Amino acid sequence: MTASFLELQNVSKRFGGIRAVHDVSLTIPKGEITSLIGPNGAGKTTLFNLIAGQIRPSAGTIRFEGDRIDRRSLDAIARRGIMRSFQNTMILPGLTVQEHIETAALLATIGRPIDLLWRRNITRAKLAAVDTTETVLDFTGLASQRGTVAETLSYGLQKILGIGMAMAAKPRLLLSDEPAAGLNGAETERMEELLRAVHASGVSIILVEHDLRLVMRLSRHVVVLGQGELLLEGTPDQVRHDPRFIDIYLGGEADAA
Amino acid sequence: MSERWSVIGAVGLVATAALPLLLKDAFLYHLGILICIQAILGVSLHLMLRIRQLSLAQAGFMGIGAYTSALLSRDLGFAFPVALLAAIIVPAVIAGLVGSIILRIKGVYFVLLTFALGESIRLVFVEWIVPFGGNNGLTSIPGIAVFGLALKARSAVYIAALVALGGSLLAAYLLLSRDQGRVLSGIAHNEMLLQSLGTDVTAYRRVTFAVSAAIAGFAGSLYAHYLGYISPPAFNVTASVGALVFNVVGGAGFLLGPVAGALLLVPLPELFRDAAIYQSLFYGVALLLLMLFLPRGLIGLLVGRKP
Repeated sequence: MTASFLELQNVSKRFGGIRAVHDVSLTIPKGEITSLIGPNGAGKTTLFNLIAGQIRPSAGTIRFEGDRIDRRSLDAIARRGIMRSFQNTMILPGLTVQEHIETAALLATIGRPIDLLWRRNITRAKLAAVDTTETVLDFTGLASQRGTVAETLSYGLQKILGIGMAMAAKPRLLLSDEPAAGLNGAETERMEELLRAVHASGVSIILVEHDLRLVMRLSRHVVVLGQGELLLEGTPDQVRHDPRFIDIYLGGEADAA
Repeated sequence: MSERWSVIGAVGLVATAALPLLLKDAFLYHLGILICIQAILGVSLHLMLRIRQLSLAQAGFMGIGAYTSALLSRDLGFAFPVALLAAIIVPAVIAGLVGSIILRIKGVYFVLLTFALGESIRLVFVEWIVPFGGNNGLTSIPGIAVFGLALKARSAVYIAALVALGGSLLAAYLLLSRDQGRVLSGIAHNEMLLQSLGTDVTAYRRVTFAVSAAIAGFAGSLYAHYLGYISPPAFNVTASVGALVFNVVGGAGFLLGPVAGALLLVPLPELFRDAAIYQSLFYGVALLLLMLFLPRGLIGLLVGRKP
């Protein structure tokens, strides 16, 4: 556990009069799977979008490896190594599975137009991208579907491809938004294995997920949000036995797992 | 299938391009030169369409190129190549600067912003009589010269225009192919995904906008030095809409689309002088019909069904 891998200090976000996230301070450890949980409207996705740079905090700071990232754009944060895979799958029309992964590997080298000037870097990156693509195809178990046009894949496989693309861009922190949503039992198992493999390869993960059993199995660090505020955090066991957690999920709130 | 068609298409294009040279008719040369210049403007808009942003400022950039080139050569005595180079660089720099702001806006708002930009550019030419000459425009612009040799013969100017069109197509092709082409096509189809993977989408858009303005400025310089006379109406929004129509008629999904569109549409008002006042009406109706019945344009018809 290295301190200050990702550090949020007093982060707040308002949308008009609504307090989506209020005064959250949080340290995300390196090399772990951290889960953000809480009932609908707890601010999980907002917090997630704040870290990814899709929206900017109204107050507070976010630091990644010591550098402030809360004023940077989504793509600049991605270039620093924080990649997100989306709740909705994201596909480029007409391209095959392999081409998607190759594109992701290539984009990591030519994120800005000025990068195109260093042809030697690109040539080297392309050679490396061939290996990366093969590794990711094996890694995600998509090797047999490499020639399939990605739009024709099942929903579950598209989500797996989404993680594969993020991996091809070599992230240090993967933000995964509801990876298991809409998946059946077998697909959820496959997703779980994949996330474990991502973690084993040295990538830290932040997970937003409704499936509490999956969360408790996967993560070492669980963060519970409620009405935009940090309620508690700890290991799955600590969280599971905390009365506040029981109160949120079993007393009152209807959409418990 | 598509290979055979590209061969047939290439042979057809070369044959069409050679036609004025074979017939040696002054009017055909004139038409050919105008087609090349308008096709270059069409190619400049084509680049923007490829990233799904319709710019109505293209004729304005063409105007910036035309006036820059005309003033530098006529009033300041610069040689044609220098004026031409400036006509490429100045609109590119302006587009790059303006683009930093307006390229964050998408869809119909971007169209409106570029409409306003194009009209503002035209109004600058109208209102600032010094140095732009106001509504009277600029006259006595020196002709096109290569290596100090003035191109007097129409055939020579025509060949220069063909080379210029080829050069513009090559520049556009380089931007739309290879790695940068993959990025641009990704931006067109799934911007959010590319951003999440670390692509500075706005910067790529800005480069595209600058290159497209550069090509438009290039067309403007050729236009000014060919006709020897320029005035603001040539660079109004209708001219930008014309470039859009070339793309839609020829096929906006193909780099040669605007060339095919210009080839078909530029001669019409020249051949039917009296019908020129109906040009906007004709463009409007043609645009409607094509979007309804031939959404991929003439080249789409040639290439076949596959997207």
